[in-house]
Amino acid sequence: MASIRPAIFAVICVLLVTAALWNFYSPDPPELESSNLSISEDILQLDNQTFALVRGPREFNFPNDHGAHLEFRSEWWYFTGNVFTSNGEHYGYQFTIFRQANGESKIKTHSDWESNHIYMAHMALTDAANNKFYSDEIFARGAAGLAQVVASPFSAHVDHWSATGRLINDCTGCMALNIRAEGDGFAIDLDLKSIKPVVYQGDRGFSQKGNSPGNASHYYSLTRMETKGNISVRGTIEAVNGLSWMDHEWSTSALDDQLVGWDWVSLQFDDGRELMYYQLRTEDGKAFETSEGTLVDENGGTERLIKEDVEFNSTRIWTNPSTNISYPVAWTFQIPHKNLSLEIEPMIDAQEHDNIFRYWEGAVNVVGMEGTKRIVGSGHLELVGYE
Amino acid sequence: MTEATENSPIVVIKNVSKSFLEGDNCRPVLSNINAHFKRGGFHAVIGRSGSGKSTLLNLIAGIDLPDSGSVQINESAINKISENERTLLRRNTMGIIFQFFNLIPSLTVQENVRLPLDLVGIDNQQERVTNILELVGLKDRRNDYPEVLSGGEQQRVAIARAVVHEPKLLLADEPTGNLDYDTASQVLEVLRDVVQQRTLILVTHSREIASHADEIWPLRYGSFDSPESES
Amino acid sequence: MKIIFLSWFREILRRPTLTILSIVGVALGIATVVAVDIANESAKRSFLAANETISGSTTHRFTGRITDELYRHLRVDLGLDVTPVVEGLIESDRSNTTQLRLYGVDLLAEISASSNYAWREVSIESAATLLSNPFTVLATRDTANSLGWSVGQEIPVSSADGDFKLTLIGLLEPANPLQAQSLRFVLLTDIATAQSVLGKQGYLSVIHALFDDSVQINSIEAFLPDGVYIESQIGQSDSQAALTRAFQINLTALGLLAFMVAMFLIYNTTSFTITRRQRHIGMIRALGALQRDIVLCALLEVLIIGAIATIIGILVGIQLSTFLLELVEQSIATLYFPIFADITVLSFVTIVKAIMLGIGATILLALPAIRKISSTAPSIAIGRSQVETQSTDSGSKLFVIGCSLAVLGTLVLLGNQHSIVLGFFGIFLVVIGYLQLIPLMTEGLKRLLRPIVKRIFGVQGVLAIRAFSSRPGQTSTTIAVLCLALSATVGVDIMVSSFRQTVDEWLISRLRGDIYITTPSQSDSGLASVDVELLENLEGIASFGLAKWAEIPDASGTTTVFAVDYGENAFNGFQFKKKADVDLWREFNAGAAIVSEPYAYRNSIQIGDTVDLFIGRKSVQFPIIGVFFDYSSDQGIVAIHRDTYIRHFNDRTISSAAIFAKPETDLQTIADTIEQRVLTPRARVWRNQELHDASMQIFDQTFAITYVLRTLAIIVAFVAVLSALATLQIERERELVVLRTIGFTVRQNWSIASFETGVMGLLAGIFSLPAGILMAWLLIWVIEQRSFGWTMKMQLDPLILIGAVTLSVVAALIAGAIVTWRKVRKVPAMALQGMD
Repeated sequence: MASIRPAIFAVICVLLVTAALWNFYSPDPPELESSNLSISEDILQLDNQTFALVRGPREFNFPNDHGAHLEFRSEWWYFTGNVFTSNGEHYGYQFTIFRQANGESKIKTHSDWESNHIYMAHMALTDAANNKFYSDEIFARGAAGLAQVVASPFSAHVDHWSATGRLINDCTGCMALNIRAEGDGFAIDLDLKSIKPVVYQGDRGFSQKGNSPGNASHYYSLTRMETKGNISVRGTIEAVNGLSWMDHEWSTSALDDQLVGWDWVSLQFDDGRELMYYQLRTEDGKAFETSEGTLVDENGGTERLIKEDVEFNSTRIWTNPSTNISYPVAWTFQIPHKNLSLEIEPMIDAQEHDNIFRYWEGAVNVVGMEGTKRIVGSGHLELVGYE
Repeated sequence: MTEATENSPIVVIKNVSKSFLEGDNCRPVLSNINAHFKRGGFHAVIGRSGSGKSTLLNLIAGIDLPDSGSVQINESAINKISENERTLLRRNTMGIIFQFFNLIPSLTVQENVRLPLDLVGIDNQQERVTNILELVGLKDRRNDYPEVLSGGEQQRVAIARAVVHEPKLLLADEPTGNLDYDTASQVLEVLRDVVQQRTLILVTHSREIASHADEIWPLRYGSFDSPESES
Repeated sequence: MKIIFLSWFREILRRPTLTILSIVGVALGIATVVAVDIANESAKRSFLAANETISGSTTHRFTGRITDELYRHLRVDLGLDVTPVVEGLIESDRSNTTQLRLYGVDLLAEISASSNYAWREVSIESAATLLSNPFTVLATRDTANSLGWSVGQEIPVSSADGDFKLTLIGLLEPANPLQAQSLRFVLLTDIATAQSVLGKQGYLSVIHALFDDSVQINSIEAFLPDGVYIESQIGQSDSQAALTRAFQINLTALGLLAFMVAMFLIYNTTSFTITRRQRHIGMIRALGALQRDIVLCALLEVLIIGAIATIIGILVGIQLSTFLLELVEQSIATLYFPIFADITVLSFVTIVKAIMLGIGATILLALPAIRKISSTAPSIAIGRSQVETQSTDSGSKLFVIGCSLAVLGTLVLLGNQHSIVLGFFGIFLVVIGYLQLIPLMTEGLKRLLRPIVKRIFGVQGVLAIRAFSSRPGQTSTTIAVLCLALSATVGVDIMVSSFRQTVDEWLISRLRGDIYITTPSQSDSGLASVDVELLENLEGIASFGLAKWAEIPDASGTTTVFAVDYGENAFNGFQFKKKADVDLWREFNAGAAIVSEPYAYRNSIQIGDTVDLFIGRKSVQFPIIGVFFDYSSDQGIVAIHRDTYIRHFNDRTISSAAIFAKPETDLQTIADTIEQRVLTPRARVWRNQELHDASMQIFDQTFAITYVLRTLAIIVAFVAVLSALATLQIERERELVVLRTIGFTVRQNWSIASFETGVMGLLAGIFSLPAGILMAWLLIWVIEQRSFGWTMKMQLDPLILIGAVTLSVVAALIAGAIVTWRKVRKVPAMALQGMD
């Protein structure tokens, strides 16, 4: 008959094993998945009528105009450049701060965090030798000291990505800047110094984009900035030298409805000249009539180029296998009346920013002829609105 | 197990003693008994209640072990081999018939009969089972459960079960003790029929039943009187 | 071989009752364990998930008094991967029971982060929209529905800082049900809105951080301002985790308890299931079946019972767990924070545990019985003199075993100061040791009873008592199982009732004020000064005192400081465990501190030590002059005079006020007047009794789950007893039938059977009392004091003791009645015939 003793032994054995299991095994919590949210835009009542429109040329005033123009909806500070190591290895970089404002709310929170300005910063680095392209983006509100652009001394930052500097008196609007940013796996720390005065794009810095009145921007550039500093890729730091280009542009609305995107190019030639040209594309892929550009001479003198002055044609399509979007990455650029003909080739094809905002922007090499004179240089090409 | 010669006794009991503990008392049941059961034929062990005859049967079956002495089956000492070997010896060479039939209630008649074949590992069971059930006259009831059978029928099933695997030795413990006179006679008839080539050792308290035996071993107070032969 | 199995399993079908009982018993045991396990695991998971769903799986967090500027410095100047949170509780008229959790985040920061933040997948447009539209929130569809809130609609809410209107502008779409549950009653909003609604402009609640190895935590700590702390998330060392730990300890404890009872039940049922086959085994052994065959059959049977029971147990356990979880949720919501997820997490480990218990333990526990049965002698003369041949362990041997187990258990208890599981193991060893003495005690009581019973009940009584001598082992085991289950319930009951009583007395002693005004703990501003003036001018008030609850930085985190000035009478309400040999009230007024028992326990503090609190960069020492009993916090609190607090911390805000009425004033009138005239938002006015009752209600809710599990243990024990008695009665079937044939009436048979089971129940009940008291004492000593640092006065409520004995007898009688019902009513002849 049943006796208690063996039961105790068995119970103790089982209890010990189970106690061990109880104590020491604890499953990992489930992998975190991100929740999402859906917002009904139509119930929001923001006042979008408060923004100023760009209706004509303005009087630029530095250093103030290097800063933010919060009365306009959109604004950007664009730094692009081509730099070289002492071994001649070629890197392209981009550092951009965008500001975008939403309409203002009628009710206020009285919190320092409240803001209707959203800042976005993009940075990219093209490592031609290794055929690599790095790109990253961050966002921050224009409040609580998280993102802002101040004119003097110049300070533009989104989180810890920054461009800071001051006006130098060598030439109009000229600046000395330090750009410092750290992306996912790469970083830049560059000193820029402009050696040519500000170039006002379009009509004295008034750049008509669409046909409707107000669909325009204020737009100026620092087309030649000597650049030196360090770049780092995956922990390796390289000292580099080269040239940078700065654009600053602001508007409230720019494109007409029928415009789907643009192809923009900035070129710095070894002979000391620069060229900027953009074409706005309509839905059928044609260049819109307001497409235009500027040719800058060695001394900073400018010549405005309109659509009829140039032939700007793509010569090669590259398709990003991961996004399946095709971009015209190689171009020819001609100014027939100057007998100027250029071939623009990307440093590498794969320079698509595959982030929340997707576009192609990258360093390019340019070679060509002006009459019998050979021209070489480098620059940046931006392709927006491809799907 | 050595093969026994034709003439050697099938069961030899030498100086066997057995006693049971009852509380603090030691009650001797068998004291120093000797016996040898010849191969073939019907041997009856007769004795009163408590004379130790069931104990003797347990010892022969290897179900219980003697305190001293030896029990030999086919010239091998049953108390010198392991429990497992004893079980194998029992199921291969013996068939057992109980007073209370002891049919497995959860098995049908033919399943009960088949059980020893299953244990010994004999194939072609169905024919044997049918034949033996025919022999005991219960072929028609083969799919019934024991509880619906009468006592006599149950005991006939038990006999069929005891002989189906053709054991050399049949052990029966008061096989008719639970039956009325007429039924008991019928059962005895059947038993005689199946004995034929085998040895049957039957323990009983009844002279009447013992009188059917070839040889009678009277057991008194735990020891044998000399055997009486019946012709 | 085939036919042996056939006969074995047809036997089960012939008498399915016992097998079904075995399965039910084992299944119930498993179900309890599974349910507790699921509840425990789900509680843990959903707690983690609740945090993670909204904060992401981050590596560190900053807590304390965090300014916007600190965050800016971390993120902008240092470029660290950090995100801010401003959160707090708000109330809405639409949710009458539950508060809402307003959770303010910076979605732009989350999107910018490289990975692992909870909202990284949110679209930039949505983020921008939330940011640009103040006083808009997002909620899950469930939350919105339960508030009757549709997108676009505005609802009024109130916070400590006032009344606001929030507009629902969209829905949160959780990635999985777990998140859906975690986000219940969460309103996601922009940080600006959260700061504004919660009145926390300029401050953040938490900063979450995702640091890789390159980040030097030391160098961050070095520049952190005073009152801001950085904690690693990996160690789960934050106080909320500690709070849930308390829950888990209690749940795990009860789970182990159920496990224990279940194992005895399994042992009991399997050994009975097997031993009842003795007769069958004798028969087939005589026919030549080997031991091996028997063992195989028995193992297979146990395996099948175990497997079926495991499946049923897991299924029932899952059902049961939802019920348990509701109770857990209630307690968590009451005590900790208003959201809690009731997701059932059936983990792999739970299934392994169930299988281990259901099949592994069942087989293991059946082995002794199988071993014994396999050695059952084949028998020819079955049914004639089948007596229990195996001698049971002698009393003295069991006594030795019992004592050794108890000593071993005590050593385990003394040797390990921290592991709760080991603590329980020790307790069980001691209790099992005690159970060893049951055969001895049964024998003793039987001898004592026999002459009495014979005199009173005659032969019938003796027949009933006989069961104990003919099957001492079996009877003792049955009694032991019942005894174990009862002692567990007695133990838990005594512990909880002692705890309750202690807390009750503590509340009565501590709450000296006639009326209290309290403000929400999230409120920084506290009681408005106009309300203090109100008290000064109100009629019927003899005096009033003010107090402040504050979280003050210390060397390792924060300390809850109770800065109180309720007067000397109220101060006497503190009951001291230890105190310095000084005039406490005078020293307290002069700047000394008194600390609660858990605080002293956690920090190993003695009288004469000091509490070090930080004021800015410098620390201030407060001499400790007393350790007082306190059950309000398992983290511990430090009490200082409010004047001392103001002197050092320059903080005159008020969390609560105690009002002492003039004698013979109508308290209700004063309370009503205050309630009508008090201006502080969300301040609550309590009469002494209300506050006391509310506290006790929280206590009862916290222990609701304990009562449920105790009931489960009783049910399991009841099934155990039922099956044990069923087996006993089946074995006695023949005897009862014989008694019927010789002329016993149905009623007489009934009374014999009932008497027998009743006596067993009575014995189990009586034996369970010392074991239960012992267990209660160990639970109080090992679990409560060890985990929480609470001293409890053990209260032996006679009702609990009487209740246990009554329960035991009634359970045994009911079980006996169920089992005997059919047997005794059988017509004797029929019964005899059916008996093979």
